[in-house]
Amino acid sequence: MLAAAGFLLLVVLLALGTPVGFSLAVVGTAGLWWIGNLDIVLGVLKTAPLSTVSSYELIAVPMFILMAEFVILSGVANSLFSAAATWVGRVPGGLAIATSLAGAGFGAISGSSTAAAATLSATSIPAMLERGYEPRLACGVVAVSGTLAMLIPPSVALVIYGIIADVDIGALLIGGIIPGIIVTFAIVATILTLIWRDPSRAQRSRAYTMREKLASLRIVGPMLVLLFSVTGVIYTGIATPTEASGIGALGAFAIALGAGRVRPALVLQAATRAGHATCMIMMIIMGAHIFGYFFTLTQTTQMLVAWVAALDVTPYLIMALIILGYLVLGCLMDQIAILILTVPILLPVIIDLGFDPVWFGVLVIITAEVGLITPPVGLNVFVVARYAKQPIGEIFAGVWPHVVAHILVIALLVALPQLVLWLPSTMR
Amino acid sequence: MREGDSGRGRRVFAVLDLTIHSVERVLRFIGACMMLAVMVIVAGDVFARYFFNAPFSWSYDLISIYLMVGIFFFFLSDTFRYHGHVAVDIVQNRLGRRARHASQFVAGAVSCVVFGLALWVGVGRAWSSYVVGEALAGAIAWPMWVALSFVPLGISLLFLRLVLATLGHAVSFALERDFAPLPPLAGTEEAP
Amino acid sequence: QQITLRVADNLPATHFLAEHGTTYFMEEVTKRTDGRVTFEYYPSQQLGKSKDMLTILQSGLADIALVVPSYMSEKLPLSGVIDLPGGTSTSCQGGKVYSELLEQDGWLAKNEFSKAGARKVFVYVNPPYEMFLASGDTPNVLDLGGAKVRSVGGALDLVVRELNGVPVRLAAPEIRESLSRGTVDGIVFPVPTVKSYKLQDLIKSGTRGAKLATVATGYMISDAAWAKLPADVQAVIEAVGDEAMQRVCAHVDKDVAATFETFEQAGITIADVSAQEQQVLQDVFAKVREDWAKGLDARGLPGSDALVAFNDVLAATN
Ligand code: NA
Ligand code: NA
Repeated sequence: MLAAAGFLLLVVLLALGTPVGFSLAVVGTAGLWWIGNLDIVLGVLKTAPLSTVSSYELIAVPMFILMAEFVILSGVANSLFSAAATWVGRVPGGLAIATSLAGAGFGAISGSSTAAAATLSATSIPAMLERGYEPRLACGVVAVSGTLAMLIPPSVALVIYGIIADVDIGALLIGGIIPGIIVTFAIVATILTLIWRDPSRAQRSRAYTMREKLASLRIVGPMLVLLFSVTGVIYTGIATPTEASGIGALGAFAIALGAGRVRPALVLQAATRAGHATCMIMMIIMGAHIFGYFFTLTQTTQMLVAWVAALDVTPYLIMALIILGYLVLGCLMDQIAILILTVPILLPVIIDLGFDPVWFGVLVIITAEVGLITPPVGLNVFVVARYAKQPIGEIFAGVWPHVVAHILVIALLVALPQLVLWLPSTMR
Repeated sequence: MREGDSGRGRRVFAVLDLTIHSVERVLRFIGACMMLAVMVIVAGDVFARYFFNAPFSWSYDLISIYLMVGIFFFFLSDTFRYHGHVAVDIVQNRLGRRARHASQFVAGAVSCVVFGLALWVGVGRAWSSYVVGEALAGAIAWPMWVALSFVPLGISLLFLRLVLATLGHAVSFALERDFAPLPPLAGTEEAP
Repeated sequence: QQITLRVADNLPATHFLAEHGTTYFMEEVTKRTDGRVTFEYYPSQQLGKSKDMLTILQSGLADIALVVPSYMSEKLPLSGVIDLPGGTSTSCQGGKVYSELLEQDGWLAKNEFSKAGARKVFVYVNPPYEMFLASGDTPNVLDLGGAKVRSVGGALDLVVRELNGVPVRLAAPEIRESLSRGTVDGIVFPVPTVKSYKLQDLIKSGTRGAKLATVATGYMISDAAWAKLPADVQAVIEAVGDEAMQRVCAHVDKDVAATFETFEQAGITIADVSAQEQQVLQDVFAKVREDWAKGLDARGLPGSDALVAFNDVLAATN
């Protein structure tokens, strides 16, 4: 009952435009005061802020974000699209397919979806519009391809899930690879279907000479360096996933340095932007901690687990409801905030139902990806709208076929959990 | 609602804003340097361990006790200034400017209470740690009060900023003028 | 009247300490008080991280919490004396020594815990930490040959370095992976923890009798919560607390011996530390203990006194 009142107050504060982390802290404080007394409130406020951030595991969050900033600074991100276009531009819808491949490539070297959408917008949308692509097709592909960065390692979202759920972060990151490839295929298949239904949506691009194709391979070197500096370093055991985040950031910095793009002011700017993003995420984690103490004392989780366990239905129905809930939440809230808020509450239920926490983490990330492109709060759509100077409604219209495709992928992963779990199981 | 022409009142807010911001810029510069330091230390630690079998024994404590704490608290207030703390603006999108000032006032006021309390206990905790001389056991007796002082330092700036914003929104609401800046709505303005 | 006590710890609910100690303690106290005292149990860091457990007690968020001094060496520096290398030999001996120091007139209770506003309910001291390596060579505990060994910092770092090893700090969730792919060559752990991290399939060799460190833990009740309890309930808690400690340590000490045997049957080379090696180790440990005490003395804390008090109690149990 008290938990319900807490959630109601949370909704009110969020509706008032209170930042998510602040709202959680306020409701948690009020709830602790209501359940306990001022001493308890002060005790929590004394420990929670410091102990949330005073953590070695958490360095992967700022480091993966910093890595994304340096990847953008290096110019590698921009070259990805043109390199992909050189190779697949000739096929129907080639530039759109190149966009999704560039999105996957960017995902493999960066952990931030919004950065991916911004970078892809700047390079691929002008190229597609110039070749007479339907704007909604072009923008939809860019918005959805940007989401791949959350799923394909490195991923800030997976790291945060791993920290909250106390799940092996290495297994999570490696577990995202095959689903990342599947989602990329799903995007390509959606593009091809759209063009098959109406060929006028996309024009063929010009052909490229072998020399141009070979020249585009210059990007392979930096890409390999970046891939090795995170995924390779984890896989070979040179460093832990946590440490690999720092090596990845330094690798991206070195490539930016090699490309002659490093100026002190730009480096400082990159670190400052990464600092803002890190601070935002950690503020939500901290608010969720304070809220979590209140929520724990209401003993709602135990009741929830007991209630779900007593339900006489198949676990898959409950999983379907949970996924539906995530899709709805994704329409309203920031993805990281959703993770931090829901995972501690739902994870005991998931484990009790016999599902694997690594599999669930990857599934939640894909579901959250959908939230990045659905109205009314679809961060990637806003980013694309800003770069492409297209109406938001037009872009939302362009993403819905991809939403359908994503839901099919989610269904596939629910039916075949091995698609997620097989690769991590080969690690040792 | 009229925008712009509220003269002296706006200037007062602008001066106060810039005063706070001058401190914020110093702190965020330190925070950015700490961010780069984490990158260099982590990579250097792995390098020294892998190639020379001689990892830095101090990096784990230095990073988790000081640098991560600094990164968060030194960016806390600046991130708020740039509206970087993500909020749900689905309802805000549908409100007029005056109603948005009213809701930002409420949001600011309740946040002031929580961060005010956190500041109060944070100061006490840092001070008592300094007086007692709390330090970690180990090869290097890292003093705890340094990290503990980052907490009230960062929160005090945020608190001042929250007070300023809350007052600004109250005045904006009452006088129907934009004294305090409203957060940008996603999809309409440049995000930070 | 009806009393509800909130119990907080950082252990998974299936942990052997929770299973054999905490749960027994709560059920038994409820039974012997005819249901007057009941417990709300919050395991798995639900009410805060391990390093915050003392503050959780002080604020009243929990009434009883599992306090591990080594996680909060800045707040409970003197209690680190239990964890020093070459100390107690079994979990029960450790429990007896730590308990004695935490009795109302005990040295640690007077000099540390009474100031923190907490008192003992029941303690658990780990059996001695041993060296386990992912390689099959019989470990030479006196010369680790530059092996990278996961350490928890503090005095253990010094010990590992003295033995020509390289101490590496790793977050707990990354230990398994790091050991499996050679990021580190070995770990220093007590036997039960090797099992609870499921590391026995990764280690190939280990020591028996090295006593490189230990970690003392204890469920503490806040003075405020204690003062509110009727005298008869206090008596029940003290009695059941002693029983709970005895149950856990007896279980663990039996388990350590049995587990070493299963390790050997599984092909893990276990090297017994000889009397001669033990002698060399004692010299190394003595130096580390001395340094520990001097470090605290230099900060104006009674480190040397703590060492003397500990040695006195230890000698009485031997
Ligand atoms: Na990624
Ligand atoms: Na959305």
